[in-house]
Amino acid sequence: MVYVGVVAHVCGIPTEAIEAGIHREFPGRKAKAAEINIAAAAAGREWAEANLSHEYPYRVEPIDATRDQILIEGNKAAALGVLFGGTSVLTWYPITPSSSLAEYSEDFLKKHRVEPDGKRTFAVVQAEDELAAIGMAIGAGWAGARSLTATSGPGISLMTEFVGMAYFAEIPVVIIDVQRMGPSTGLPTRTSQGDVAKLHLLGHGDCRQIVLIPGSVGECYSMTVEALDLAQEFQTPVFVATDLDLGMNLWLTDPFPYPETPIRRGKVLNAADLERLGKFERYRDVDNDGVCYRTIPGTEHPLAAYFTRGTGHNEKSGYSERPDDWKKNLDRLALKLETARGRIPKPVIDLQPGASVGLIAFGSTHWALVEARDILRDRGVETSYCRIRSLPFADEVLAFAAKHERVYVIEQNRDGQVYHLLRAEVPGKVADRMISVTHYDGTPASADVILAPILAREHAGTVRQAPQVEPIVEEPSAE
Amino acid sequence: MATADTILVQSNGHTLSLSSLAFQGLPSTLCKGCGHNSITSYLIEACKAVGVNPYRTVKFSGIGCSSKTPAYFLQASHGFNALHGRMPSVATGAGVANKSLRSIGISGDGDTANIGIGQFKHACRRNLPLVYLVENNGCYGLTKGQFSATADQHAHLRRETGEENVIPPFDLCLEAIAGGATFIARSFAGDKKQLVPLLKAALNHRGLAVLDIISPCVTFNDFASSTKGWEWSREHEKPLHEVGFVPRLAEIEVEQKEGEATRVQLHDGSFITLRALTHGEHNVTDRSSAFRLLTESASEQEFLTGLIYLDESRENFVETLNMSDTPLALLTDAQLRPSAGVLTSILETI
Ligand SMILES: Cc1ncc(C[n+]2csc(CCOP(=O)(O)OP(=O)(O)O)c2C)c(N)n1
Ligand code: SF4
Ligand SMILES: [Mg+2]
Repeated sequence: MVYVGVVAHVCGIPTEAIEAGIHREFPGRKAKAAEINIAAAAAGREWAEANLSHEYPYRVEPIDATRDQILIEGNKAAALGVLFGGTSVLTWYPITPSSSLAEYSEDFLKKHRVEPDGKRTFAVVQAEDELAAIGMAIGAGWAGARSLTATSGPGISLMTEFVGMAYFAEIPVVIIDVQRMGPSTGLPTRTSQGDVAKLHLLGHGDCRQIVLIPGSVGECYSMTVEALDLAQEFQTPVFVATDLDLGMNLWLTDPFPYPETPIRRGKVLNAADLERLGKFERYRDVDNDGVCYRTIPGTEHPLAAYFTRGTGHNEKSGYSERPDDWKKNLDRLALKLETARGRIPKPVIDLQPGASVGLIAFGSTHWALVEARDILRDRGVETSYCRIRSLPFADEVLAFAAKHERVYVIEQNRDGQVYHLLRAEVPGKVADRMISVTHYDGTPASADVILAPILAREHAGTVRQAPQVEPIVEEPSAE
Repeated sequence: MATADTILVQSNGHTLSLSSLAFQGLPSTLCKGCGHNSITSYLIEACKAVGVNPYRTVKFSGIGCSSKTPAYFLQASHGFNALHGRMPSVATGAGVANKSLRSIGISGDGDTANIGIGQFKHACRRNLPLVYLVENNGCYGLTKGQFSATADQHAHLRRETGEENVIPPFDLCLEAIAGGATFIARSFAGDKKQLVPLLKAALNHRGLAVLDIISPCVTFNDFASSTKGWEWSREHEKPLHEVGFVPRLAEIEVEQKEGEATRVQLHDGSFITLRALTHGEHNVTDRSSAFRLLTESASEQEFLTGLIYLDESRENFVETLNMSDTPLALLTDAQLRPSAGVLTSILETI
């Protein structure tokens, strides 16, 4: 506390502000301790006034810029998404950095999702492992609940078999991956974007998963809400890929808006619908958008029941090993993904007129990128920026890549996972203009690590005339 | 009126008359003579007898020949053929999502005692409301006869002269009782007289009902010396008691008459009756008596069948969650999403 007093003097923090802070730390019965601490701080200030004559360049002054803003971790923000997204079944197995997400969620649910008779409109199950956590979430999703589980990389590995099955059997479930580094315990306290490609392709055989990628704590909230609706609409696993930096650190943000649209439940038929239609086939593409109708177990109608299986099935969900049934189903699942491509969160694009350099990034890299762009502009490099917010890539992302002479894809993993996914989807000529910039030491990306390779290539701020220059940045080979 | 072809079932206070077809399934694609087929037919019989409502029943399984069988019964029920060893987790999630449904899970010895032993024991620990049948043939039928963890020590692989299993087995009833399951029985696919009443009772049990049923694999494990074969099991089965099932009785009939079989009441008011044939000292409601019985019979290589343990007092997992009367799967938007005011008030405290 003496030190606090010294620092307060040096930086010009008013005594009242220090005292208010101390009182906040020692409320109620601890007020006695507050007095002692205030006295200690005052002693520190007196000493500093008497002994430190030096003028320091740093001042602390109140400003109004953060009025109405809140300070929150991404995991708590996502927990609010769990609450307002209408989650009814939350299953989880503890793992840093996702545990606090489940724990905050449980706290919120216990407070705000209780009926007047004291009964709960939710269930939280701490499973025996991630295999069981996802199995429970999928069982719940199948039975009509809005289910969600949260984990980190090692948990995702254990969930893989179930995720593949849920993709194929078409069961809604939301999985939040708060990414950390590496296998086993890896670097459990460090951040990464190393799971993105794996999430997108998770499963066995041909799987393409929907992945939402929040770039802020606000999006940790809104995308969790959105994921819960998308899972129902597309009857499939939906991932939310956050990371430790977003999830466990406090960020300043505007307060979150209440969801604009009512809860979406997707294509579910009840007994009256079945009676009216006189027919139900679980995997028939009635609307030609790849998304079929389903019924919820417990629906009292002779047409309602169907048998869910990972094995090959025809449109009636009957067992089938016929090649045409199998292929037709996979093609329909591909169409479903195409439908989803246009309905999942669009990228945020800032096009600067005349900029020949395009930057593509996603997730928590955003903040370093904002700073990096300012510095690049000071050094004469004007850039456009596309922040990807979901996989599969929206058409706008591909168009953005095509629009620029050089496209830097910046991400927090070694191999440039999204860089490679993008190259696979754009024409060869566009792919050749893409350059991977990666950062993967476990610390959040800073503007420096983004700037260095870009500036090196962009001739340290001089606008290049000839586009053909030997790349200085190591480009991972595209296979 | 219920006839041979119609079954009366209760649904939300009204009575439905259903065709018995609703209880049937697709024709079995399993081998002719497979024990699993017998179990399926007894299960259908038990479901009809106790008036299981197929619309309000869900079927689960893992992977294996045994796990295929949910396609062969209760075709008017939703079914979920899940992953190898992971049936319990799916049943847990569905049970939590809709507590008004009755759950039946089918598994095999490989599915439960090998890959799924963890989920099995956690289902026991939670006392999941689920009828959990293990169709136990001591081998992996579907993948062509490899040993499972219930294969007896010195059992032979696929034929009399096949490779010998040197590792002692898991006894799934012992695992279940250690794990906390509240209805534990062992039976035999060839003992209809015993199995049908046990199934009826299991269908009316409050928590997890584990039935470890010896179910011979005629293709890979049915030679003379196989302790999981038809012949050996028929010759060596030692029923603990004669089992009967009595639906909920009128008040007057409840009192037990002298000389009658022991009656144990189930949570819903029905009874299971047991007339001892052997081990008359065993008390099915006494956990340590059940432990003793199982460990002693294992060391003497007795093939004891019957109800081994029953506890109707313990809450099941779904009851412990204190959920709303409306199942979670059927909640309204207003029940699922708190108001805008709640969001504002939460944000003010952050
Ligand atoms: C993850 C996984 N591993 C292995 C298999 C292959 N497999 C299918 S069924 C089975 C064993 C089934 O044995 P059991 O449960 O005893 O059933 P049975 O066929 O004997 O009735 C195995 C190993 C699988 N389907 N999934
Ligand atoms: S292989 Fe064995 S377990 Fe499988 S169906 Fe045939 S007899 Fe039954
Ligand atoms: Mg088996």
